[in-house]
Amino acid sequence: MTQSPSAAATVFSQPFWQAASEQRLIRPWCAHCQISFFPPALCCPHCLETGWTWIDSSGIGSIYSFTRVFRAPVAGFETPYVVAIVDLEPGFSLITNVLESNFDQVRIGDEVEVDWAGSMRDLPVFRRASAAGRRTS
Amino acid sequence: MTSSFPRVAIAGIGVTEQRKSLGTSTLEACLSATKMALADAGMSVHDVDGVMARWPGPGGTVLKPGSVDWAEMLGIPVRWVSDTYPQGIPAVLEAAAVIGAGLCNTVLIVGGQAGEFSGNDVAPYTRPENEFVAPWGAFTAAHFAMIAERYLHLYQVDWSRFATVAATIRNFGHLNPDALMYGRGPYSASDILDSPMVASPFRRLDLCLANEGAAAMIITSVERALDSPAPVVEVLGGGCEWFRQQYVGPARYEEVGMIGEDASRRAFSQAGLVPSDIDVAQLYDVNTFEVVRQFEALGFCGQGEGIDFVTSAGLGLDGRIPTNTDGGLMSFSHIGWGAPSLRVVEAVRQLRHAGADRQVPGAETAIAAGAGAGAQYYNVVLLGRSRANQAQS
Repeated sequence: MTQSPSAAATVFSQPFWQAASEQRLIRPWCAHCQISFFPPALCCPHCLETGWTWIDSSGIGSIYSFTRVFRAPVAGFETPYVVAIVDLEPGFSLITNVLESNFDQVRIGDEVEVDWAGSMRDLPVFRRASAAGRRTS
Repeated sequence: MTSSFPRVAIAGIGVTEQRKSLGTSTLEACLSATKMALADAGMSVHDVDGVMARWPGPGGTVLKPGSVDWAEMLGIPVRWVSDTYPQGIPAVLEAAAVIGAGLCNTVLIVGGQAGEFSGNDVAPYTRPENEFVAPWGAFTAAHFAMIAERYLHLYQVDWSRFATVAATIRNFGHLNPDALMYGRGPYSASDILDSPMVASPFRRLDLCLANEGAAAMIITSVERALDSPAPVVEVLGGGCEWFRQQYVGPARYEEVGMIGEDASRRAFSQAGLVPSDIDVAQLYDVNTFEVVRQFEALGFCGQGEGIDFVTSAGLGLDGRIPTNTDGGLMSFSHIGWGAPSLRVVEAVRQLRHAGADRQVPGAETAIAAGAGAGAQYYNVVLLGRSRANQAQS
């Protein structure tokens, strides 16, 4: 959150960050294998074909694991915060943040939904599904 | 039992002072360690014809391999170079392979860090830049923490039971005059559990150090090692595993939770040993959880049984498997990519019976290991006090 993530984008990831700047979450998709993979790379890691495409993610997933960080690795992160691995569609998982004011409520397996309301608006973060519901109601 | 593993030995070890800040450069620290390892092996630099290092500068070239710059600085022609990453076990095993193949005779392995830290940020290598990691404030301890949280979720183990592991290793460091944390204990499990949270479940005292220092080793044939003053310590077997590049994609427990299992099976098979034969362990204690996980992956116990194993076996000097007898990465020293060599060096000291107050009586076999599940790679080496020692004396 101290620098734009797109600063380090590669030729493979540039569409991901372009979509993120429009607050759309997209994922690599191999039509041949009928599966996603991540991070984006030259070829699908299952069939080694280079002709994969980007498609929309539902933005709905679940917390595979997480940690509550109380000491940030560099300046610019407001502690504490939650770093999580969120599983979205098969083959598509993100290291991300779960925004949650009540830390102790976060559990492995919780359903989460993408949110673009973090401190950087082109960075996908997640909220627990129930919390997201409260926010929009 | 006959093994196809080359008959090589760790003939020399050299470790500089390990400090928070050394007031010198990486290159100078590495040169000091090199001289110490050569003296320890009873060798001159002209005995070395292989170098496994990296070139930190200043001077030399920006081209690779940087190990050639080492040959230039040391004034020796060489027959083999490799910019091994990390140091420690992969370098020892590669040295064994190339010596066994006759490509060279004697390899210098050296690495470390000095003069590289700035401000209060954590060490740069603990927060590698990646577009799908760094923006969300992830760093090495967080990757390992998510592995640990998943494990605790799957096996429903009480995290407070792990604190004894950190306390035991830190108590070794408390008693080791060369350790960064010398005299800072003694520690009880509640000291660990009372330290500030960094990345749940890890508290400050669950995590390793990041500091400065260098370490070097001299690897040669067992036959040549017999000319060295210290008892010969043989490399009996080893293995490496890489699942994915470290800290790019998410590290998932179900994929990497047992990383090291395959490498250690191969290592034990080469050595003709089983885990219960091992007298002393030098594991890669980047955090408390990893020590427990590694005993599972290395075959000392079943998956999910690690905390029961370490609790009943005991990791202290009076335990069944004394572990990280110098204080490990948590309390002795962690010098970045050179740190893995420190685990091997302490194993060698124990097998030479040069462990002073922390000597495991009569230690004949040791295991040393590097990296862990959060890093998605692991390596292991088995070492033994050579039978050639008795034959010679």
